[in-house]
Amino acid sequence: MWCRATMLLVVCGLLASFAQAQTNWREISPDVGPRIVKVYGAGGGGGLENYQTGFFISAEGRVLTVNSPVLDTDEVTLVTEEGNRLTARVVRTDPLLGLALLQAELSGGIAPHFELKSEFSPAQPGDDVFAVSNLFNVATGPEALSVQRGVLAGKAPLELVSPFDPTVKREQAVLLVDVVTSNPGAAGGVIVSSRGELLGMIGPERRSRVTGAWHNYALPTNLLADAVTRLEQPPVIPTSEDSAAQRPDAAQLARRWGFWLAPEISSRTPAYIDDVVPGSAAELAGLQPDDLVVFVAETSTASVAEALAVLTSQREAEQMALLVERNGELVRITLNLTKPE
Amino acid sequence: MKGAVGYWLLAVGLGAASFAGSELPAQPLASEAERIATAARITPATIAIFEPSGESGGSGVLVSPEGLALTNFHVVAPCGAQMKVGLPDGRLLDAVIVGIDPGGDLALIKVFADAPLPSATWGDSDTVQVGDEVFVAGNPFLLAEDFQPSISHGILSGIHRYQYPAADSLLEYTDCLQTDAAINPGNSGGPLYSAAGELLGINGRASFEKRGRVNVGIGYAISGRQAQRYLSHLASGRIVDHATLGFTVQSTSWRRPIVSAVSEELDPATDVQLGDELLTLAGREVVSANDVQNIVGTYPPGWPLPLKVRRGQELRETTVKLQPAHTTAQLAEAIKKMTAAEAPPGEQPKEAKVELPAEWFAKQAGFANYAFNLRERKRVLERCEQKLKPGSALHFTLSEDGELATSLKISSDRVEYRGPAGEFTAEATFADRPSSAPPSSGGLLMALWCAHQVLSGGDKLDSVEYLGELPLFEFEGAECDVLRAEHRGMVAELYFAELTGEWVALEFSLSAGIRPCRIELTDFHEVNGRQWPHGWRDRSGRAMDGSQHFEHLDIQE
Repeated sequence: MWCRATMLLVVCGLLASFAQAQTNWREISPDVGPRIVKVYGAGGGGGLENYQTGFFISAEGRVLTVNSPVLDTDEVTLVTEEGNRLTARVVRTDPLLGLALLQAELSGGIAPHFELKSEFSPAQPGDDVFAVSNLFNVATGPEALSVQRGVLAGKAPLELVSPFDPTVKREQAVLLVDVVTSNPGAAGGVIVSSRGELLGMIGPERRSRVTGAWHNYALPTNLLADAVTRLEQPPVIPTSEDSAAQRPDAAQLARRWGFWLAPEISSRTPAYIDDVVPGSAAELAGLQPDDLVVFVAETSTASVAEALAVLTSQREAEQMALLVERNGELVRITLNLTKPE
Repeated sequence: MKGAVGYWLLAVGLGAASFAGSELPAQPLASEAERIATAARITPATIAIFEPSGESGGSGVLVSPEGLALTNFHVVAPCGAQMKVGLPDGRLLDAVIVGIDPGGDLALIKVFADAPLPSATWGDSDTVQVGDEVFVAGNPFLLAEDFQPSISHGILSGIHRYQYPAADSLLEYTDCLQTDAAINPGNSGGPLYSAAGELLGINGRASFEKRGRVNVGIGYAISGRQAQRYLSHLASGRIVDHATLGFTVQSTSWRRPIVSAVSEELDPATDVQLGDELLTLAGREVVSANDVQNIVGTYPPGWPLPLKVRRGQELRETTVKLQPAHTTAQLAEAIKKMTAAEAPPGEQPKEAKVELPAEWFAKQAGFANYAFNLRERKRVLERCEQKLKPGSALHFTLSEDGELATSLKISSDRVEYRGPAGEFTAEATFADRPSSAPPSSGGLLMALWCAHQVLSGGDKLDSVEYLGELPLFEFEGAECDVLRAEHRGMVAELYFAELTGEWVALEFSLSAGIRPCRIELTDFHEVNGRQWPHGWRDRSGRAMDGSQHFEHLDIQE
């Protein structure tokens, strides 16, 4: 009986998914379209695109997109499908997934947005999906973004290596689609179900290190939701001259804890461990070069600057809890200055 | 536990069996059947086009039983005047170039067959929406040895797309359709169909990047509406140009584009001034300069487009007759460059070797194939009731109170008018300038002389050519075949109703920049067994009295 029930369920599932094969973009586009924006920023020369895609995730104008050189500017411009232009700035970036959280200046009103669900995508391989993005910047003005139709091909772990920062590596379960989404400007776009539900965000362009093929994938909503929760935690960033002066310099860190952070090339340089001093607390605790520091003392750290800020606030501490990412895994490390007797 | 596993496997087995059998749900089977039917419907009119040596090629679509087929200019550019066409039934036939549109990337060819050929049914590309199912048919990678087209299937990803011209090229895709149905090299010139199998556009371009020239889900088709507007112009055998408004607009941050320059080519009857804010064009809202170009690019020169502007606090509506964007020489130069770009690297584009009788191919500056212009001119005049024998004269009269009030004589040598407005004569032979009589008519008498020459096949005009179809003065006007005559700076355009073949209107310009004379012919009565107009209505707001009416027409043949 149990098996028969399962069987029926399978058939029902098939029916439902075939019924969706009739494209219903017309029905869902009034709902989905306004939530997605074209993102314009730095670039435009030397083969670097100055455009990508993003989407609203809150009524107050939070926008999720990918972290890329396009955002290397004070302000970016968001263009809605209606042609409305909004100014936005980067709130924080997430080195783990290569995401960026933006805040758009809304001129009154609320932004139509996707709710990020913290569950892994309920969509199943074979389900119809639509990919919506600003690929090739085809839709420049007051016009809808490009829509491609396909099916969810699978859910699989993918080692994400950012072309922007090749040292960022992480293996994550992502959504694979049979639509070519690895096109210029598509990153930050959405994969939605045939009912218009957000399934994931088209990730930065990445190719397989084994086959050289370009991956057509999306970061599922659960990863996005985690990242946004992380990013929304108020970062402890000293802004005044005073606290900047109090920030430990690299040499101080090395003397006290025994590690060197990566040089702070830009305000968004991820907090990588550059080197570990032999025999130091850091080495004893197991910290390694190339570890990416994502939490310091329970505070998420998206950059060297943020890591330094937290370390400053904890400069009297004898113990320091770090969460680092190493080869796709999160490792908890506690540095201890009090040597055990 | 084991039993359960066994049962499960069996269940999967049964599932697979039922897929092979007839127990599938009805909906997917119906969808599949529909797709198969559509593929079958769109196949016969889809053709493969090859350069005579077979080295390069593309696709095309038959649009008339007489073998006229649309394709891309960039497909036929390397072919010269002749090409080979493969039909899905396996035949390999000869074809000749008819007309080209290098700016819009369209070309029309004529396929020679001894029986009527299948042709596509047009759909309405104006009413499509993003998400609509579409089919692409064609010959990607010149794959099909038997000319059976490859069919791909997808949705419309975008509409009203604008694709910038490539460097050194006129080629610009305006208001085009974007699809994720696979379009690859070789699909160029082939048809984009709706789910119902109706022709929506001509595929021609795709966005490629790091993977090389293979489809990545972004292809573009010239809209069917644009292709339909250009079709008769291409059938004229001409090198067809794209248009300019005669004024330019600049995008502004407060949304509506502003008229930033007005050129000499602007239709003098158009009420547009520097600084006007352009609100709508051709019935569509415009918010940027790109929007404007996106609309203008889809209409051939000569098309009248309505527009709405804001001047200060005032809203004004006017009509602009589109002007050619290039001179004949500029077009020829651009084609040379574009043809060289399409030729294989290191090779000079071949000079066309033509092995066709003169009735199918003739060379002439400004034409892709002059033979087709001669054919179209003949067609238009032969079906026109107002066609005159050479040397004929027309005498229109109107009596009032038993006395001759108005008289108009038109012959090969002169036009004489006598009536309430005065007495005027326009001579066919003139020294410096043609007669502009009657005053402030825009040269109505010369206009009538030009029309007489065209209708009687006279040999005094510098040139007469078939232009294509244009709406009669208004955007939504009935489309008419247009014959265009040029003579010493004068331009006369005769409009012939598409349905009846009747001569229905005349537009005339004494010289560039002078407000043209536009009249619509009225009061059709029978004379010598044929319908003849006995009057006209002014459509330029300037001819004598606004309208004229005669009682009697005497034709001396």
